[in-house]
Amino acid sequence: MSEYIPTIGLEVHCELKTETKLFCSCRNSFGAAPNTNTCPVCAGHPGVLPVLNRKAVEYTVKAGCAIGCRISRYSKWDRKNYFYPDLPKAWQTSQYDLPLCIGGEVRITVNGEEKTVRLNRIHLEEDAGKLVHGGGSTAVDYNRCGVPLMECVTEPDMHSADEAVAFLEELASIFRYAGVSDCRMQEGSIRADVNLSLSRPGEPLGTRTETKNLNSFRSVRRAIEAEIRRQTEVLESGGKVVQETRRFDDATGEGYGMRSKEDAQDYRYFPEPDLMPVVLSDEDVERIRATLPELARDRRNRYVSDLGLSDYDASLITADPATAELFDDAVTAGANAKKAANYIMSEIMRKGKTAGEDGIVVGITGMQLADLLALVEKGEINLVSSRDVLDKIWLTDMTASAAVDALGLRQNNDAGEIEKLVRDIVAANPGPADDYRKGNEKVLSFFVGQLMKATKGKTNPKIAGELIRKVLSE
Amino acid sequence: MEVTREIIRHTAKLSRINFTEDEEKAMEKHFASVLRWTEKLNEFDADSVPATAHILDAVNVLRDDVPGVPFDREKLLSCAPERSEDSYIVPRVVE
Amino acid sequence: MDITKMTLGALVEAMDKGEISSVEATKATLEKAEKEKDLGAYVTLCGEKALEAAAAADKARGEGRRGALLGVPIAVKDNICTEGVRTTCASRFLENYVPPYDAFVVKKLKSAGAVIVGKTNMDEFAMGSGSEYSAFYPVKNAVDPSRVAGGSSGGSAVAVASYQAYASLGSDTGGSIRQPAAFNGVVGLKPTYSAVSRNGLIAFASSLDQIGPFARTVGDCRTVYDAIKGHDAGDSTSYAGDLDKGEKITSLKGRRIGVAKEFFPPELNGEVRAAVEKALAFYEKEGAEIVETSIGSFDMALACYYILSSAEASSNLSRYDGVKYGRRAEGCAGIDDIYYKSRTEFFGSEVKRRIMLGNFVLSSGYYDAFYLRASKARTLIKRDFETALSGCDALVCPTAPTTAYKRGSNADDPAAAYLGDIFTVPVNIAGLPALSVKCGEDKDGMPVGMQLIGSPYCEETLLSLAEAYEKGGAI
Repeated sequence: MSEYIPTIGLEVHCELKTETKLFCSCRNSFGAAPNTNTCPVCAGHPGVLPVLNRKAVEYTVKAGCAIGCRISRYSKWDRKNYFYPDLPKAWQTSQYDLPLCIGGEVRITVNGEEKTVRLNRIHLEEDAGKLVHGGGSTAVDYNRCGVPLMECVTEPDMHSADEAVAFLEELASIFRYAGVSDCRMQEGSIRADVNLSLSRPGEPLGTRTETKNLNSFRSVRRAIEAEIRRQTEVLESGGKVVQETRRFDDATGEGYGMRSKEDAQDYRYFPEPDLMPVVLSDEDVERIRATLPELARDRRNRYVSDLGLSDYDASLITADPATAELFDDAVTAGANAKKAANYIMSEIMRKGKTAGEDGIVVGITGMQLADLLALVEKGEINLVSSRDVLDKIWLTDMTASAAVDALGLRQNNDAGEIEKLVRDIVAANPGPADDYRKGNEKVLSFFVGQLMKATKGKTNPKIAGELIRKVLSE
Repeated sequence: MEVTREIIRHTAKLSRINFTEDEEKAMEKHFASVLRWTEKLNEFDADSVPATAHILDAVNVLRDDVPGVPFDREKLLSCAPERSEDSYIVPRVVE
Repeated sequence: MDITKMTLGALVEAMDKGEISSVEATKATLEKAEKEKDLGAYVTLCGEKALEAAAAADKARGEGRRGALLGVPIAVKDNICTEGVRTTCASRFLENYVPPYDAFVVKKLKSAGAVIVGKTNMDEFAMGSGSEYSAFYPVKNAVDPSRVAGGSSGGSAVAVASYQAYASLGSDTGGSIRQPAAFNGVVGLKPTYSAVSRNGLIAFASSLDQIGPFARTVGDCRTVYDAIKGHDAGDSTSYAGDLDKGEKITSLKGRRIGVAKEFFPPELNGEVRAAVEKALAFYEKEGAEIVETSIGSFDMALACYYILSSAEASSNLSRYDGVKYGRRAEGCAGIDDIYYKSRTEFFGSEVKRRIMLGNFVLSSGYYDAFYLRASKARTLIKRDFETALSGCDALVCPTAPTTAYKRGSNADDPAAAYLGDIFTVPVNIAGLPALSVKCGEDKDGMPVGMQLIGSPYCEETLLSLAEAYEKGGAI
């Protein structure tokens, strides 16, 4: 008998990086003390009314443009009613039948093969609060209540954990490039629900389960793998997969069915009477589309074909929009593409990583980087001292040249002066000089070291090497 | 349509309200009276009429993305039947 | 002289002249409220806060400030949020709820220098038409305490009718201002949907709710309406356009008063019919033309209303769950226990009926047949009113099919009471302004109300038509 094929669809929730919440002017920020970003509106007090955040609508449209969705010219708001302590109004304001974005697709590459994952829709809705479970009680924090959330629903186009993760990575990259979401897994700003069923080739899809609220790419992968194993075992032993909502426990690596609620499916959606519809003109959509930057995939292709980077380097540079932006700017400012890429991948990523946990903080502009690389190229400074320059100009608007002068790092390129120093050092070290003359090439580095020590590293190493050979050979 | 005890019980669950047997009976009767009037609504061709969700025709009522003055947390938390220093408290929620 | 019996306009004039202070008027009002306590008009009296506000108003007036509501004692329905003053919706659930914010209209009243004397009693969560469904005590009719006050804004109507306030605010979802105004013989205005911000009005049915004023004269009603209307950026359904599309009518000559036959059914109480017809005769005598018209979809309105309002209510009232504010039942083992026990214990039976009906019409399998159909019927009702009103200045009809009935008479059949809303609910469905003014009495001396219905934002047309009647009509 042939193997089961998994069929996977995802519902991905991305928090938008607006300044304020979707329906009130509380701050949308992660990590604040519990319930400090709340007000009567997002805490669901009696008598409160929502007012829609313009930016949240624009960001969702922008996201939709980035993945080729059809942008609805008319969309509206609906209430999704259910009781849960993280939902103070006991309904989530969402979009039921007329979402902002319809369709769209994301191209992914898995094991060198390209494929397309279709989207069904993207709608805008509000996030719920956070429950913190203690001993006998649960503490409720409404800071996240009302944070704007895009829900992206895919078609069931994926067939492995690899594909699902590749899709998520690509989607996160697109949204980061579009500047609409940070997609930070650690902060829960991107979360996924996995719908999964098994079937044999040519047979109709099996019963699907939904594993909810996975908040890391790793969890998505593990949850999919675990669910494939579980459903396979159920089917092989002659059982039936039950349609249910499941959770995945990261600690045990196991999924489990959630306590069933008979009425869980009956959300009693109806049009939200407190919010007016959103109507967009062609001009509105085009205005928003025009703000969309070049996305990672296009940049990657351009870096490889036009700038001669390797696939690997291009992927690394484009993993974060900030580094890609820096790279493009540096090249525009005259830097050599390969050298700029190397420098970003080694020095910038090392330095930027320490500051931000998830993304990379880029503390210099392309112009500053091009300047720095030119100084190295011209031999004004060496690679080692370039780190000091980088530290000096990081998060400032100082030029690299000014930093080199301020740090007194400018390299000595005066051959006459260097030769004089070399002669002094050779004279002071007759033993090693003899060794060299007897054919021991290794002592050359000893003399370079001595020279650098005497000049605090400010000697042009290329000129120094040539002169040391010359003097020793005399 | 016939209002069954089943419907009443399901609706009570959706409403998160408990009813006694007698209350269920009374509710059944009440539903039946009100739903009798709704037969009037079947006297027009629904396909040809759009639904009205809003009596107004305003659209795009939007606000700028600018943070307001933070609201005093204590003013909200002090309304809660059970709370801690910084949060609302409920019995441990089991998923 | 009993200063509580002055009209609002006369009081302000007297205060401007320095003959009476706001503190005096407020004290007298509070004393009257204490004396008339048995009528049950108030849930909460704001004695100290009211006197402070009155003193501040006196001081401001002394410094030369003037204002149509400056220092005027006004009552506010207890479903309109007042920061720092308990706002209960006459429900056990919110018995202890002190809102952390003021409703938009309360801010407006305060900035106009009005003195909020108290929060008025009502049907729990504004669901009812007798004010008998208050969880605390019923409101009694100001004319005959053995009868209902009408509702749901019964307390606001009775407070004004029995001189416990110079004016008041109520809310009207299906007649909750107009019907109690009619039952107590005062003036009540339900403004056009969106003319007055709902921000801070504890929602019953969001697409139907409107705040509006009660007063003893049409002029006073206009004064309060002018103070509370206006755009509010905090209410997405608040109207940003011209709110004064109405006309100040000085002569009735050539005016057209529409009479829709559906509003005068054969079974209509004869005394009510006679009183309204007499008022129509007045208009005709003064030169207005009585135009026959029709609201063909009239008989769908009641079903449409109960489906839509209950659906919205079921959702709006889900927030009362014992977690964030209000009461929580004792001895709950888990979160579901909190939901079930609190909602079972703290909601009254009428509220439960509406929540149940609302959840039913929205639930899977019934949505299309009930909620969606009602939303479509709404379109037809709205169109019919547009057509009818396109040919006249206002429609005139009875506010309610009967005068105030004996308390307790609807206890056995709650649905029968819904029939009393038959002339008022279509107006909310269509979002139109309407006003109730007294047009006579029945043989027991109970007031009969006449309802004037107008085109959107034409409140002034209704006010001046009512004022013409008030001044010239022989009651």
